[in-house]
Amino acid sequence: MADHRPLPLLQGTLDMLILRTLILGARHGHGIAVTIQRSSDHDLLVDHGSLYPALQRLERQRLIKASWGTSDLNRRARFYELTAAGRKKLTVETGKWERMVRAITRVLKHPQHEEG
Amino acid sequence: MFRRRPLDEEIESHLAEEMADNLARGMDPEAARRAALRTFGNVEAAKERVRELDPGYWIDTVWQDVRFAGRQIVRNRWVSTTTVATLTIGIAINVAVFSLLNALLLRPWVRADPETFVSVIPRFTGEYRLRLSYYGSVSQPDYARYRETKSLESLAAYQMFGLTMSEAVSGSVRGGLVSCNLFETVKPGLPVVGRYFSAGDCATPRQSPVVVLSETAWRARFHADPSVVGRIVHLNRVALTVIGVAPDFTLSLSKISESDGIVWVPYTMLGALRPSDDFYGDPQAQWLTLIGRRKPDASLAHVQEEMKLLARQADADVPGRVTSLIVTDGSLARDPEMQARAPIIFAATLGTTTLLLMLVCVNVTTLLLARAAARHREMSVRLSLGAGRFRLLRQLLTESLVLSALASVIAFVVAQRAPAPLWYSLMSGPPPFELTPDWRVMLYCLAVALASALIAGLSPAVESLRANLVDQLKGSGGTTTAGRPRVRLRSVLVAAQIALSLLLLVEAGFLMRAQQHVFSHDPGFETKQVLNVTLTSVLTGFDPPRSFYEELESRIRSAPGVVQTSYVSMAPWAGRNSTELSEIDGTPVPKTRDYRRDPATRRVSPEYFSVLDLPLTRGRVFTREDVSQSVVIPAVVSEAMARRYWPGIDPIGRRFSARAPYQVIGVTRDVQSVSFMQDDGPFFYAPLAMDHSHPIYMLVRVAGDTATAAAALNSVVRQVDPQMVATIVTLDSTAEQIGARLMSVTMFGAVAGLLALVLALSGVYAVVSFSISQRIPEIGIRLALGARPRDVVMMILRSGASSVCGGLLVGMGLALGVAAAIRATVFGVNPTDPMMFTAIPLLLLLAAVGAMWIPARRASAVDPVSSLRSQ
Repeated sequence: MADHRPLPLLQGTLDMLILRTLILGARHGHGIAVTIQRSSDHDLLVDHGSLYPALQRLERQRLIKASWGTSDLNRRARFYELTAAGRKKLTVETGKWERMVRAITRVLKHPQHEEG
Repeated sequence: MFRRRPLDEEIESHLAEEMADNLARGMDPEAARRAALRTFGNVEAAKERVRELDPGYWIDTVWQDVRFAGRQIVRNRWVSTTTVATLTIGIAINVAVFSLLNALLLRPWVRADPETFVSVIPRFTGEYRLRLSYYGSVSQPDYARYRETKSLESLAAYQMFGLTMSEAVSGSVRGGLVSCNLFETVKPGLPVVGRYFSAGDCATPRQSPVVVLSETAWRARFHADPSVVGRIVHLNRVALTVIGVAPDFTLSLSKISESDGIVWVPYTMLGALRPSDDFYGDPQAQWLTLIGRRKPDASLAHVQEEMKLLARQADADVPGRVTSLIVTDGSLARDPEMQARAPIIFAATLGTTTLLLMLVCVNVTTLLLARAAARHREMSVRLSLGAGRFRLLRQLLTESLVLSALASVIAFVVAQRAPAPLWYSLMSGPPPFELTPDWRVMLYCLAVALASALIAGLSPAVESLRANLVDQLKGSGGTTTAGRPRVRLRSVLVAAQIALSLLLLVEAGFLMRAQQHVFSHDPGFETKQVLNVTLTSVLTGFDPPRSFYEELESRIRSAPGVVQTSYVSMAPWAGRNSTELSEIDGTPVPKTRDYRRDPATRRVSPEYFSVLDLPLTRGRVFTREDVSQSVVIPAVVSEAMARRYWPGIDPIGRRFSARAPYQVIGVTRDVQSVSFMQDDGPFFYAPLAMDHSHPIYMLVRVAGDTATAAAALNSVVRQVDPQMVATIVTLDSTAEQIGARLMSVTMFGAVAGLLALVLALSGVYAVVSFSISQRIPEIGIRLALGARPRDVVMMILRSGASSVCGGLLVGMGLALGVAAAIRATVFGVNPTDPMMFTAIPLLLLLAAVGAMWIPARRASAVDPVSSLRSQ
């Protein structure tokens, strides 16, 4: 019954998770992936390949901005950080997500009525 | 493009980080690298997805597709060449026909700045007194009002009249009576020699005897003599001084075939040129057509608003009249008179060429389809390597787009040269408008190219991608039998080609039938030995004294070769002149309210019947005595008239009234003399009373050569009155002219039909060959199992026959529609002609079977062993 394989991300949540990760400070792509996995206690599986289209999208929406820097391994890497718009977006998205979770939870936990 | 390298670096460093982490977890380097790659997933796919987000990506891949298409096209040289050639034919025909229509209907006929040209077209309603009114014209006082316009740079007025020019070779000329600013409005360019009118030439009515010749008139009559300026010429016997020569241009479509050129005269000279009929300043005579030039900042709507205001002021001077006017860009298609007809012209001409283009596209589809099948394996590999289906579809469509782009470039160059010869094949004079293609033609060409690329390329492209991944990679690409949807697509293609070509063949058939009718047409009277003498000068408002007619008649009678002559109020086929009857034998008849239902009438000399060899079935013809003596007018009626008003009784001696009392003295056979190739219906002849009419036509029966007789008659006319101009042709030549004009249309239809046949047959051949190539293993098995070659041929014919027959049925249904359309435009055609609906489909069926039989024959000769081994 207990399945401990990591869960694939729900459609559309990757953007929000990236933004959340970046609130802690600038990170490069790999750092973001690792942070998400780690902070979800490895319950979430981040497809590293899909990270880059998402980063590109967020950058084009000016929710994050990127600059070249040097990684721990002393290689050139692009570091992403939140913009003001990104911060605002994160607040909005987090709010929506929490409402959604609450709502879904309510439905799931609702005692079954007898149909009349 | 510029993103590619940084992205590579970014991903590399990502993988390095992951690998480092893995190493830290204690993996060995190789495992760490592989694990890193696994976590990342398909690196190339990820890169691709990032690139897709880049705006430059699109252009980038389009260029990729074009290069890919180029390689494919070069690799399949034969298919590509055939495809481009076929498409070129289809597109070129369409673009050529469209550029002709565009020049004729969609553009104003001015060469300089067509975009500022306007045409002001008034429409009048209400009850008011009117002396005469030409279509879309205003009176001179109205014109004076409209000239107060502020939104137009200039507003000119004109009307075309026939005039008699004494210095002319053939006599009559087209005269343009124009306001003196006409040339600055039309902008035909600088005068060839001399000058144009100045405002002073139009200052005082009848006081400015000057004329500007058109270049054609100058060349035809004055041998392009530059010293013509200052010479005196006579128009309707009035002396005018030539002041200049203008480059050729035309203002209206009527009689464009007249190649004698035009003479331009100030419109204030109307009274001098037509003294008996001077309506120059008459507010009740609407005779001036208006054209103008917009100021750069004034829109058509703005001009129209202003003109409406001026129209209201002009209406104040004419009690009861209400003017509603429109301002157009001056193109024929926008003219309210043409608006209803223009779509019909477009449908009739572009309809045929569009059908042909569709056939071309379907044909190309079959070519590309064969190639699509050959490509299944390549596409399967691409799909399994992660290529998107949409991306591949785009790539394949790019290929057909490149092919059709190649074709349309060639077609455009060809089509640019085609309209002029096309025009000359229809009309005798040069086209009165610019034929060079403009943006509309380019746009049309582009649309045609795009449409044909999509129509021709879509289904083969989809077909290539329909590959079943597993089957294809297993290596059994050509399975023993083709799948259902593919077979259906092929049957539809065959049926469509057969239907389209049947349609075009039937159209060609109808045109040829009409042609045959015109050439073998018998109107019921003599046409070969009868000359029609048209006194053109009388037509142009130049009235000879009564003695002229008598003298002319007696002189012509005594001319050599002349058998008999007759004046007639209207020449055969010149049109309808009806008389409404009020009483039959004293009983009033109800009004018909439709002139086409009333009996047609001709007033003729007594000799008319012998000139035309028109036999009487009863009674007698009138005599000269009848004409002068009787109070009741004697009439000769046609059998159709006798049948309608006196069914079953002898009409001789019966009476009818139509403004005057008539008595029937004879009955003639029914003929076709009112309109070419149309039965006259009820018709009566009455004697021509010379004392109160100026007949324009005289029919002369001659013996021997008609050309010499015509020349002799011409000099007789000149002897009687040196100023009188006559046009003399045989009645037969009218039929020939109509036939010749129809001939070019027929040729066009025949070429289209023939082309359609070739395309359809090659298409059927290609489809059948292709489907056989797919079924070779199946055929091999059948042969190995003991089928005879004949059985194989029959099997293939049977499988094709159903779609051919389906196509024939659909085509015949559509052809009924074509027949109805042709009946409305071409005369003498029976829309249910059995020939069209039996012989043509039958021939097409046979030809199609032939086209299927050749590859079927080849298929039945395959060697079963080798065909099975090649699996």
